[in-house]
Amino acid sequence: MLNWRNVSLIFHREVRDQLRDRRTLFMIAVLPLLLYPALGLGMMRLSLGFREQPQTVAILGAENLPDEPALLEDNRFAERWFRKSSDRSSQAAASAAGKLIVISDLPGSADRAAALDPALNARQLLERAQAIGKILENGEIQKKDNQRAGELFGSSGLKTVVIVPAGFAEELSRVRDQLAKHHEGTGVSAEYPRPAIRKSPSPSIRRRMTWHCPNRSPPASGANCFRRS
Amino acid sequence: MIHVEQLSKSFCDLRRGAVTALDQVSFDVQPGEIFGLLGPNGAGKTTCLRILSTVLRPTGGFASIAGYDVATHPAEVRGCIGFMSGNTGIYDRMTARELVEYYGRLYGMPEDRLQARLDELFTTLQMNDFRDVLGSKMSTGMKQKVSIARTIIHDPPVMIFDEPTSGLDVLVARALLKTIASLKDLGKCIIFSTHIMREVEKLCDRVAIIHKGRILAEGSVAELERRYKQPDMEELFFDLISKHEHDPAVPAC
Repeated sequence: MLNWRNVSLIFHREVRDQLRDRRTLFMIAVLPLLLYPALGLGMMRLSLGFREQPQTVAILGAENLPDEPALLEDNRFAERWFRKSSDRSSQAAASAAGKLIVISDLPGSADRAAALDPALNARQLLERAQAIGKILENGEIQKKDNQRAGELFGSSGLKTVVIVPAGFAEELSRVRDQLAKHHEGTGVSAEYPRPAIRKSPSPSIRRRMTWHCPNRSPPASGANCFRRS
Repeated sequence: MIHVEQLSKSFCDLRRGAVTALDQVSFDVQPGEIFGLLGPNGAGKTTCLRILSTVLRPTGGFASIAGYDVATHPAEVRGCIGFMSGNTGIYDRMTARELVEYYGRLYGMPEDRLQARLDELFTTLQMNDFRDVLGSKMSTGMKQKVSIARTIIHDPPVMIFDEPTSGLDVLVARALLKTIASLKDLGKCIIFSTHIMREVEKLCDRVAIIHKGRILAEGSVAELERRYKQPDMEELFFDLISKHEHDPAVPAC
């Protein structure tokens, strides 16, 4: 007969039954206590690791960069390139710039980069970047060269390789003058959009990277920029 | 004590159409008597016992236990019966004592009477050795004893055993039959369903042979053997079943 007394009896029996089942107890009490904090910690560490891991950019032909505006400040990109018009605080820009370590082929750059991050094998990274640059230094890049450069880049540990062609600073200055003349009296600013540097979302992208080689012949107004998409 | 009159149960089956599981079955069982329901698989034994234990409702006829109609007073009927079948399970994570006590409480027994009855039953059925053993650790024989104790904890006047020895070895089955016989001596009214002839011969005061929902013969073992001129229950059973198979129009008793 179903009454509250029997309902209570059945309920207590079921509870006792569950409490005596070690497997159930483990699944409902012990496992969540161990698993969920461990999962949370793991995820947090993983995301922090991804966020804090410095990413390395190699710049070849750094001596061809214009002095003004300066792209680099020692082994970092200059903060001004990370400053948005809506974001006046220099802290965010400094933080963004601080996540990228630049190794250039300027004398002493690799040593300074190694001083910034002792775990970084800056000299080896530079050598790898130079090997990639050597393959791509010809004006006409064959498919097999592109493929080989891709393979080298994939295994290099570099985030981005930037190759600045000879005469880049002069070319940039000439283009600026032309733009200034073109916009003279129109009220239109001679400022023009600058290339943005983006980091890849995750290392897993490495396998899917594509090469962007906009200029097969030596560029007139920009650098050959190879980066992961 | 048990009165069954023209009891029928039909149901619709998608494959077989209308099926009559029980066809106008009638019998009476008195206190201190073991009444055997003997029939092959699918004869309707379990259907009949399920109607008597109020699990199923009859589609025709009438049945009463201790004066209560099984269709209209199921709660009272359940309080009067103890039902045990061969596949009655026991809880793995309850000890023998806890399980029997639990059922006693479900039957609404007063606590002092329940404790006295527990002591009595555990002594009678020789269960004190494993009173604190969990169900998962018990042997088949132990489980069977616990099952019996659970069935009779509330001291019901009527007991229904539905093939209680199926799947048991000879020793356990023999001990179980002994226990049922001792319950008869206590004046209990017992229905015992089986398809094993030897058990019927040993245990039952009266037998009804049931086939395809109909009772083909009813009486004591000796009386039936004499009436149908057969040397034993097995021959009698086969004779009746084969006659009914060849000519289903043969009137049932």
